[in-house]
Amino acid sequence: MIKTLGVRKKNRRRFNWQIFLMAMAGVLFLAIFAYVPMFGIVIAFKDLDYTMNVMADLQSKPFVGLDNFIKFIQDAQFKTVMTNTLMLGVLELVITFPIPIFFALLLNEIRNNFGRRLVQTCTYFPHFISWVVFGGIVTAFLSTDGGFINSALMGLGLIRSPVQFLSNADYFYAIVIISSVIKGTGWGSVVYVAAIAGVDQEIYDAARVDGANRLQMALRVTLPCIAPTITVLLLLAISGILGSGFDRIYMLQNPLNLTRSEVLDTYIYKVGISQRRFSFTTAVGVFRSIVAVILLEAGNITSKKLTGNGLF
Amino acid sequence: MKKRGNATKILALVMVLILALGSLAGCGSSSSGNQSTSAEKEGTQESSVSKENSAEASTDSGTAEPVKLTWFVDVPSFSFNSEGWGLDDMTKELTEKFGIEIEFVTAADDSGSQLATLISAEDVPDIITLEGLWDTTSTNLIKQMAESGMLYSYNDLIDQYVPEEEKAGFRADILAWYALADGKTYAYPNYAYSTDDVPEGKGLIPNRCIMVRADMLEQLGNPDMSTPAGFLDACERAMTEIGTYDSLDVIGMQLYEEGNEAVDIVSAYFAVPWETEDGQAYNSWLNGANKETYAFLNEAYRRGLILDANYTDGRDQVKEKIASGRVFALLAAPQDFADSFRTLYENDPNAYYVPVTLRNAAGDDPVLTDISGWGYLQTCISANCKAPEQLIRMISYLVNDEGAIHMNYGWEGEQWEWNEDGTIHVLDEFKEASQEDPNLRKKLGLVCFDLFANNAFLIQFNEPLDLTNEIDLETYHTNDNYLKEEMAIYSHRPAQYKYDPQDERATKYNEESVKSRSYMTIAQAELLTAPTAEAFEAKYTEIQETLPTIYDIDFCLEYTNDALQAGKAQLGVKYFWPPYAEAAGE
Repeated sequence: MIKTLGVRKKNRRRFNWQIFLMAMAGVLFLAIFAYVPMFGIVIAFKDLDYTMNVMADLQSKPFVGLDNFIKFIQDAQFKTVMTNTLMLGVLELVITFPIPIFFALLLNEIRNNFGRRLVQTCTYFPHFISWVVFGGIVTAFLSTDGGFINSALMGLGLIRSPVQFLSNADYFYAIVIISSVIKGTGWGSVVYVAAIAGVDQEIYDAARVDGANRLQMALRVTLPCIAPTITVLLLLAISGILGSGFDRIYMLQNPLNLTRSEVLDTYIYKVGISQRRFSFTTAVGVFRSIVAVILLEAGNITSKKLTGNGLF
Repeated sequence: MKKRGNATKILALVMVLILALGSLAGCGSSSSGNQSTSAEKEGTQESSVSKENSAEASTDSGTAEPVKLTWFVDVPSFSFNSEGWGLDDMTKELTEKFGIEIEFVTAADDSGSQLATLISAEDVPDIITLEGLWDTTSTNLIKQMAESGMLYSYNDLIDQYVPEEEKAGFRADILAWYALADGKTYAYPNYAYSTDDVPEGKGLIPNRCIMVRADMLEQLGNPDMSTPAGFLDACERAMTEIGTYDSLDVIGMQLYEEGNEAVDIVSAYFAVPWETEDGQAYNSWLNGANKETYAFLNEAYRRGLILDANYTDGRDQVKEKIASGRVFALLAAPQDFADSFRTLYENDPNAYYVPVTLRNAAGDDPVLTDISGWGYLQTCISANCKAPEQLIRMISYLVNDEGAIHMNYGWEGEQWEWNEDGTIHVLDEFKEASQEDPNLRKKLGLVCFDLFANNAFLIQFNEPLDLTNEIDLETYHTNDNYLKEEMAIYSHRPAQYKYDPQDERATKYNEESVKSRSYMTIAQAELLTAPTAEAFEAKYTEIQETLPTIYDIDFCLEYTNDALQAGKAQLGVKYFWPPYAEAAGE
């Protein structure tokens, strides 16, 4: 080990300052946008609700311990909000997460280059529409008053009267998940398509010699080869389980579906930021981060034990 | 080989520089922000110096470069009705007169988060407009800003800069009503009714009303819509017998988007009292006072008169439905849909709305209200304001007779002239021109912003309409003032709660009311859309039982009751609820 370093020293500069600087830029970025703001967590442990000047009061106000966290847990809406957030998170993990993997596997089977690009472009496209617009489209499609879906179903004779998609809270999870799948599948498959492109062709050749058909090659060769990528993305997805994506929920919310549509993100916005309850909001945010870290750690350990792959 | 190495190094260096610059960009903008605030401070100092030097600072400032002010309006529905400041004659004139240019920033949503962020970042806009007194969040915020010295008080600015003869423009009773504990007023409302402006014995035009389409009503043979049952039957017949308008399905009853305000409107028609018989505040859930209202709206929903989509639609969809002529009965403030009314009328002159008098099962008269006293939006002047003198001079102009008439009617001789009886005659040429070009008023900047409008004062200048004239006829059928006129007999000045912003309990009250609101939004929607009468009963009882566990009802009731009694004390009355007051001979 020392020897090889010695050999390298002869050929290279001792200190690659260009590369070091480039790395430092990233560190600087993280420091400014991730580490410095972390001091703000202090707000969660002080009473800064309704304050006019956060910076000044941050120094002068006393610590109140876990009061803000207790307030949140005792809030009448705590149960609803947590249930919705967790349910949506789990559904997301079970449904929205695997679909791009299968989609990438399917894309890989299209031999015609033009056809593949066409499909890819078409499926990427919704990703670039903001949720504000996409939510509006979803609302218009699902409307009971001349919406496309209801008109089509009635035209086909499948239903007699319009289905109250948006005003019946029971449909809310399904609407969010399905519209996320439509919007995100194409974009979500990019990473997997790239991973599949990196699989060694020789393995396929070997499989072909062994007499494997295309389905077998996809399941026995491609899938195992991209498993590490899947693991990494899965772990990241698990840590994001309490973040439901503010935009899409907020856009699809209405008073009739609030029982299913109020999630942590929208709750923080409505009760916290809008009311200027800074400490309360921060406490909810910290609570969410702690849960995320626990989930990430648990997922990582499990994954290491089971597959040998992990994030860190 | 060596050359190539150099090229790589240079490339690496360039990239590092780009990255470094990129990551510092954030810091860059904040330092420029600091510069601008120091410039602002200099600006204020300069303006205060110039004021000391010359008594007629306003004429001076007209020649100097105008000061740019930011006016933040925390009400998403607000729009500055002009092509943009400085692009129309009115705002050009204001800039010339007062030396200020205003940039309006309207909040993107009604959450208040934008303003909260600006304040906590100490980047307070020059002028801030917030929701009215009824909105406790806004009122508390104003109190807090005033206490931390972030606002100018109107009293100080008026004393300092407004000439004696203009001081009456700021109505004394409005200033007094909005004053905080230090006796100073930090927020001035628009559309507030001062006692000076309302002629004795004259009824006020209510803010919201229930109206139906005149043509459809006639088609149905003018059925009696004054009883709850009769009203619902008529709506149902409109849907079944008339069926379609212009090949689109007729909607029996249309509420505001998400069903908002329907409960308030119906309970006003159903005369649900504002206080108990002994003059105390009460919770309308606990004693079931509002049950008839909810049952009425629920029945309408169950019979399919209110579309399910009504609860998910936004304002634009509601406007579109009215404009396309589908709506039979509308529960709203007609001024919010003036454009839709006009579009509809221009396509079909028979399609216009008329008010109906819905009564409760007992046949009591409705008790409708204007937003009188409360005013509508409150406007504050930030202590950061770069040109407080010019600004207060401009506001003073807007609230005084000359400016108010000018802003509303335009230029004398060009758009209007005086009648002998003191009313204003809008010139026929202008009427016709604005009929042809609906954007003409906007292009001129008339009524371009109404944040200091005084409706009660202006109404005396309206001349009677000439209904043989087509343009006047259209106004008569589509303008809210004429539409609602006959409802004025049921109109009363509403209860004037006097919340004390200094009250220590305000914060807790605010938190508690957020809790109840979050619960009620869901519960009320579920109640109104209950699928059966039994489900409605069950839900109503459930709300009655659940409500006390959600928030501190007793505390909130005590707080509101104090505000109610304080309001009565200030006005020197025993009762607010008009029928009780009448019975007591007030």
